[in-house]
Amino acid sequence: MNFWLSQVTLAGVYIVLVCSYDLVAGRAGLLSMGHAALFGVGAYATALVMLHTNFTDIFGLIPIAAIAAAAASVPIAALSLRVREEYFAVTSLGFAVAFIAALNNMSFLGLSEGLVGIPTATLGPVQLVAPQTVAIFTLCVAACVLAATLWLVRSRWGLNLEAVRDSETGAVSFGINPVAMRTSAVMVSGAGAGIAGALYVVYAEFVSPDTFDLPTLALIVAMLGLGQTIGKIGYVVGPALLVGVSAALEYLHLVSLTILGPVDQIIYGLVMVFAIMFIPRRAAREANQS
Amino acid sequence: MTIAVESLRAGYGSRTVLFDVDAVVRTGEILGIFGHNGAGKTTLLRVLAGSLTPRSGSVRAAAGDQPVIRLVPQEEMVFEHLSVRENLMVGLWNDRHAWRSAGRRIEAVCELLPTVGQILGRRGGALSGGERRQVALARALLPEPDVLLVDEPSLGLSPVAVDIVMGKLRELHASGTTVVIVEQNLPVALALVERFYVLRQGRITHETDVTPGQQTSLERLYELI
Repeated sequence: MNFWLSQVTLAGVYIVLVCSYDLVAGRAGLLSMGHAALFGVGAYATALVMLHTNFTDIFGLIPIAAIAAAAASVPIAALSLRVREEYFAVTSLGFAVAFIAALNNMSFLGLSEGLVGIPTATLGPVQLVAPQTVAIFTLCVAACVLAATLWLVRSRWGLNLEAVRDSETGAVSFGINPVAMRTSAVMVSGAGAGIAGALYVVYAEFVSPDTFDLPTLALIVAMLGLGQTIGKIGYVVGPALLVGVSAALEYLHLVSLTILGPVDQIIYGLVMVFAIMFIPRRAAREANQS
Repeated sequence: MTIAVESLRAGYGSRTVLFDVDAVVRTGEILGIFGHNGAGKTTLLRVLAGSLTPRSGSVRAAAGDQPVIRLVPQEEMVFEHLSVRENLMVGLWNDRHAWRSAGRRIEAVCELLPTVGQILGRRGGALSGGERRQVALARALLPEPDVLLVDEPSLGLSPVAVDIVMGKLRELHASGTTVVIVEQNLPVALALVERFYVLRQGRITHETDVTPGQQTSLERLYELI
């Protein structure tokens, strides 16, 4: 696949991941470490359906992936009702680690080699195989998810979510149900991660455990953190910037291919650290404006 | 008569706070509820607001009357990361009709509370105590309540801010809203109310009409409490 088109497609997948991650980590204030795993659930569900049934219609696969990931997010939702803040982050990380262990050890999931030979997805009569077609399709879905996210965060649901995050007692005093809000936030966000998983399978036609492991999680956190420092356009700018940096490193041969992966990781890690450091400071600056 | 409370018992867990309380809130009046800390004033407001279910007894509106009742709690419940505008809208979430007309309602409330109008874009966490109190008041006013219950509006405010909040309550009352106020600052409250109950250890021990011109003496009130 054409190098730059593949990077654009990847950026589209990450836009979907960042939008859905913002619902849970940003709006609901639940720093879930299970988002990359839910991305994996969507991808593996799509891959399994395509491999075993030869069903390739993307408009059928996307809902399947979304439902599978939303269902898989139920344990995370249950966790969010029992533990808070860093304890939630750590326990949801346990979920992610367990998921990767399952992928690596269950033969029907292809073990560490993953699932290969996934058929090409179709969009009505169109085969989603040409790089341009895949890129355009991915960006269209990303645009829809972005629009839905912007609408959700402005809706009554989004407002209630932030109210629960800021003060649970306060929210309850307005008749808002924190259990329902947290559960729905985790599940809607999980469904978004599932959609990204389906898009990823269309793009890669291959899934393996590595793709959904902790480095991907760090990347999503870094993208959201980076994006949050610049407002709503961050949903697009965060993923575009980090995918762009990685692509530029590869394209310009600035670092040798063997250490490209580790260099990427270091960059993502640093961005994540800085982004997390800047988020509270930015909130404080906003609060001091009069 | 808007709301009648009859032989009301209420409390939390194993603790009963209100015993056989009988009271009325009359349409259009401004009613005070006075008493020591722990006398049950806030509990009575919560029962009136419908946020606490009584153990026994009843709280009834006059037949055919369904007053919209809103409570301004002691803790303002201002959400720190939401803007003031969003803070106001949180109160409307379960009312589709009110949500749609939120813009118009916020404008109307800001006419009464111009301070709130000036800070609509600010974060809740950046407000002063007086501003928070006014935002909480504005939020309770958005559903256009018939009865407004206010819990200790002067708590923690400077004298100037207290004057402003009390002035707003007076204006609201003048525009026809029924106001029930729980207040520890008796000199301020006495100047405002038309009638008051004294609550003592969960029972109403006294009821007085405050007749204009004939000041109820503060000393007398302190004795009653």
